[in-house]
Amino acid sequence: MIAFLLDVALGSVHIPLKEVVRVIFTSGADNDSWIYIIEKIRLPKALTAIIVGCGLSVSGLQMQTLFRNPLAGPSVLGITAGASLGVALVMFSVGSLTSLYTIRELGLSGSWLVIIASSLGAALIMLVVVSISSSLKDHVIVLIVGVMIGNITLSLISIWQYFSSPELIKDYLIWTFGSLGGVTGNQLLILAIVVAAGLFISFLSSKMLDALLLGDHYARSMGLSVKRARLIIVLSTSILAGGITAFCGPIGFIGIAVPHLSRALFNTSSHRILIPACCLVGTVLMLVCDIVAQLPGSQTVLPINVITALIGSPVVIWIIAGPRKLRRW
Amino acid sequence: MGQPILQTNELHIGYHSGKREAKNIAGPLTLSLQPGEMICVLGPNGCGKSTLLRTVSGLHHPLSGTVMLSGQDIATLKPKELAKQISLVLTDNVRTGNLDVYAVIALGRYPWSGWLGILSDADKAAIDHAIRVTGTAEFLHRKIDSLSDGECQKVMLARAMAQDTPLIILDEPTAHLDLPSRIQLMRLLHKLAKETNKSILISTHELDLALQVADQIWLMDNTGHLAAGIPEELVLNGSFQRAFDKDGISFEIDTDSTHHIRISYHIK
Repeated sequence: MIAFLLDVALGSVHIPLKEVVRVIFTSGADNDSWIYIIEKIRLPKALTAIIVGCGLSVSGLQMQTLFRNPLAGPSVLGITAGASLGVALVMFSVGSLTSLYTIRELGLSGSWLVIIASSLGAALIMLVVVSISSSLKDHVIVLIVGVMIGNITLSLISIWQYFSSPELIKDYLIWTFGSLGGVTGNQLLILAIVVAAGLFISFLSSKMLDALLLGDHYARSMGLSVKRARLIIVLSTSILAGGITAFCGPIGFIGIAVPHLSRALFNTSSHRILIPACCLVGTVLMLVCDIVAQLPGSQTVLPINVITALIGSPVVIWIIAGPRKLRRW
Repeated sequence: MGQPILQTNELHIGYHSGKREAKNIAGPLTLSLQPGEMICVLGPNGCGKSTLLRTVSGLHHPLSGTVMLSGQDIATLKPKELAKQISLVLTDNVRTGNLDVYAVIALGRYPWSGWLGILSDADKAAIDHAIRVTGTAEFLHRKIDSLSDGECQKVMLARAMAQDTPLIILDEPTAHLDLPSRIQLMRLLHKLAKETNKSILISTHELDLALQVADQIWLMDNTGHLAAGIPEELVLNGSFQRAFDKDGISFEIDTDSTHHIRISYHIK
């Protein structure tokens, strides 16, 4: 809550905290431009940060359980790359119409198109990684396979870029920096619906996820149909990661770092608790990242990806090189 | 005797290699397991012990024949129904995921608990019972990856007990354990079979211990033959000799004045 207020309050135009609270709760203020800035820019951005924080964290949590791999996460195993492929597909084939900043003019159908393409791309890559990894036991090898598949996907996109016009490439590049801004109005609503649906499915599958913690064989011996469980988890993960990537670009490290932080903070393995916990931690972390990205007191805004990488990478190093209990997650 | 917990009819076990080719490992097997009985599956490496256990536990399809569980064909049971009949202790590594011991044991209630996995009072009672009979209370709040191999096996057994199935199958539960832990675990299994009237089926390499605690031995050899019977019978009729032939081991059986059976084997 505090982070939320701070995120709304801080920005290149200084607005007093008291006024921010007033605008949010009573929608009246001394200064009309403040109302505009808060209602049209900062509030949507902060809401997007919350949605992104929840969605990416939970998709990362699900992947870590599904792969039984502490280093799994949407950005690591090429899932966001898959989503990028879906987005690139739409951007470059439909043309300039669907770049991020023109989706708004295109209206609802365009937004859905990008989300669906992005989720399908994510699901495709995830299915490939799941099917390859099911025959591999070593965490690191699965990881390398995921990274390589991500690379293949990205190079496909590069080939495509090579034959596209400069404007499209620029649009696409800006999109890849990741941004919480620019998601407003209907788009924000769509994103919220999509992520809420993903979170809902995910919460319903928390019992399945618990069983999978002991591995496929044990899960089966306890009466879980592993294949169906996998499909459901792939589905909700793709919806979450794909939907967010479509609108905000590939945002890294939140998906891998937050589940670990949540486990450490709440000291539990039960997904019934971990899923809301990830939402909470993810929300706070994402808002903090957004605050830092705005470089409070300055006029500059850094791409969000820069900040999440700065915060997330040490967590990953901590997981790999840190105390034994974390390596074993 | 009443209805057996487990009954196999003309069962052939093995693998399908390639499209049509079937590799028969053992069979035909007609076996049965009564409530409260503890059966040890013995045999040299590669004779198909694990395949047999996987097949009767429904993880693996038989090449032909049927496996009946309390009178129902295993092939017709849904995963959840099956999970209420058989619980497993496998050799899979479970030491992942910030799991504490209680959470692992509680997972045994999976087939019984509601859609979100919230435990009812009955579930909690079953978990407490499982903890009591397996003596796992002392490390209840430790993380699973801080346990020794022996403690970890006990926890997995407690999880199987919590699943509250008439049949518990354990695949080489004594592997990786030191001698005291092995003896402790086998004694515990024997005790559980007698006290809770559950049937326990294990595969093991512990000839010594198996011959002492098992009610019946299923002895497999490398030719796909299985001899079933009480330990003394199998020693007397030379089944052990045949199964472990290549090792050149001979078996002797003594009965002392207290009718305590002592089986010794030595290398020729």
